[in-house]
Amino acid sequence: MGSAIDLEKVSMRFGDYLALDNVDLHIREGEFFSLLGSSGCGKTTILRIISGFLDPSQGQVRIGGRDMAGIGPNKRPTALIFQNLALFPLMSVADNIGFGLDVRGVPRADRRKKVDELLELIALPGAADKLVTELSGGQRQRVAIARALAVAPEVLLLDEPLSALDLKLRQHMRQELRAIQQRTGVTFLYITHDQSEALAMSDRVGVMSQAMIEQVGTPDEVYNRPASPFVASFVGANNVFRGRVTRMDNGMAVLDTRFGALTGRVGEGSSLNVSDTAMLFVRPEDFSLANGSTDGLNIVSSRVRFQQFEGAFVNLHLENRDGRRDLTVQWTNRPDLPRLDRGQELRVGFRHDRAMVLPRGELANE
Amino acid sequence: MNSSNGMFKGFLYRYGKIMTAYILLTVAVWIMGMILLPQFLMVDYSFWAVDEVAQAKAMNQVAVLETRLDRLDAEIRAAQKEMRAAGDAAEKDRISRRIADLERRAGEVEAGFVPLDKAISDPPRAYGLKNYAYLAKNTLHRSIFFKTMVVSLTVTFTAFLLCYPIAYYLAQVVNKQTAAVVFIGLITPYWVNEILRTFAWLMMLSQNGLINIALQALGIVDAPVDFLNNNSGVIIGMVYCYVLFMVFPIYNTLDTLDHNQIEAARDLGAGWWRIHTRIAIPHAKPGIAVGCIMTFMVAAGTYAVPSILGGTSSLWFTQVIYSWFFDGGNWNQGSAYAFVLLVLCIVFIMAMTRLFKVRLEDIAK
Repeated sequence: MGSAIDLEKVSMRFGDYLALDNVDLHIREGEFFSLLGSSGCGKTTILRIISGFLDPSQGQVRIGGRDMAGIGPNKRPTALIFQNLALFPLMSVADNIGFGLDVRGVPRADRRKKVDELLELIALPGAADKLVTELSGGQRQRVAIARALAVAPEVLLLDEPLSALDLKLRQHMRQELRAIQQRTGVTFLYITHDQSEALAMSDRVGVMSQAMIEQVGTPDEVYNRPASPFVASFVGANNVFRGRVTRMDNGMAVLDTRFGALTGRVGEGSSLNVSDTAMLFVRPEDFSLANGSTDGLNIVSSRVRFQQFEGAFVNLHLENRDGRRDLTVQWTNRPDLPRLDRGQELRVGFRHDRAMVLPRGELANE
Repeated sequence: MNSSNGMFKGFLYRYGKIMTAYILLTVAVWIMGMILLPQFLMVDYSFWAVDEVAQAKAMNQVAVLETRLDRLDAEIRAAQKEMRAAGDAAEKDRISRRIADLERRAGEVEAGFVPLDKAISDPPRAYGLKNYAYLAKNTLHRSIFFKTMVVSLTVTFTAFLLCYPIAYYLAQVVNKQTAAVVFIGLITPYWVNEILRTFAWLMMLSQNGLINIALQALGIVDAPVDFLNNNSGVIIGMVYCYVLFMVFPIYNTLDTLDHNQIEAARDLGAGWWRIHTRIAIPHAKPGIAVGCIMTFMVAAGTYAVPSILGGTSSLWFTQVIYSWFFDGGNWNQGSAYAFVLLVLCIVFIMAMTRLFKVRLEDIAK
């Protein structure tokens, strides 16, 4: 499988501000790739560099193997979907979708045919002669996708296009976007700050922080095997235990923490030695009540601070004995959940191999 | 109706009863006193002319009456002389009766002057299209009218070609600070009044002005170009004087165009020409229409620029109107000419709104 987009050592500087620092990124043909990061991390800058609206200060951009230096946005095989969609309000739906074909000199009849095909694809047949201002939010979304797909781009670039929609519609549009991507086989590069969006839709996810890409991997890899404390804390909720490594053994490390000695597996590619300071991450959903065998389990003694009922699951907020550290536990809603009162002593446990130990590093800001 | 009602309520809420009444009253006085009454008066003037036949007849009658009066006066004087020479009382009595009779007749003649005087000082009005027919028949004035129209259109179009790129640059390309600096640069010349600005152009465009010196020094022309006796001086001067009328409305509309729309068009493969013709200009239509209307109206209605830069062989229609009012002393003819100019401007407004498919409400916004 070929490469759709390659960024080689791309840096972007705005005056004194470094927006991208030596970024390497390789996106495969036909994949749904998401760049996940908080605002200001440089993900939109990457998008604008790929689409051609920005020239990188350093480095090379290749699309489909061709160097894009000196090629303007109107000559690149990319199509961009803007955050506010930027549909043309003075044109009909058909004219919007056909715009890219029109400027390429495609005759009216062929244009109309292609527009009808695309309207079929986005499930809006018969909307051709409406004004875009007459459409609902979700319909506009789909028209924007059709307009971008009309020019048969090699790569579709999407700049948080779902952020303006309400939750229900957003979830629906996720499936729809994924379905359209699979039907057309076009490479999608999707920019988002919403991790559930990125995890739900993507073949692979790139997690960005401060001008750099921290990790690239499948949603499963990024979630279950984070490469850095930033990724571990940014993608999904995570409990952090800081401590000193007291023992290393067969890919497992034992940390001395405020909750006692805890064991976890060492992250791939991270070099840790005894007496290094490290962080142990464990997901809220990996906790269970510790009553029975403690084989292969870390046991944490704690007190209940409060409980939040969220419907499908329950969030339990615990603190250690001196009340200085807290942790979050998440259980799915089952009839046999114990009744817990504020201040009640509780022993919870999690499996050694569900905990990740990584060298100390920066966490994502909450 | 609904919205104006709402506007009125909003006014009442914001300014209270007294202020609202004051504002409405002043606006009404302004509309009546400054717009409607003078216009109606002018339109009325334009449709009548002095009844010259009646006036001449009255003047003839005055002359006739004057000779009759002179003759009677002479007879009275002769009779008075006879009176002094007369001897007996019977003759004196006869002469004094004759004098009384003559004076009575003189009085009758004098009374005859009163209606004639009125007919001369406030002559009868003949309503009709005479004043307009005069313009239609007068080839010189007609050609000045059409020239004014064509040159005003040229000025408008030139100003558009010049101002659209400036407005686009200010609204979409540069940041707000740079735009502010450019605006100050655009506005500063307007602190000098129009006459002085136009005189500056007179100095530049004259036979041995800056431009001719430069053109000759560069060897582009051999003899100085006579800008002032053809229309080019007028066009240059007017474009310069009225660019702001074009820049600001276009800037205002282009400023509201989401920059993403331009980028989206570009991303979809549009070159600069398409971006402007398909995205930016359609969006800026109301501003372009307003800019063209304002520029055309001030250009067609200006007096100062053509009278300073126009020389003798390029008269402007406003100059003809001026001379009817103040040199020819024929307000009726002047009013008719002015009304034709007004109609031309209204036709232009309607043509522009039709051409740009904008409604007057959009323009008002």
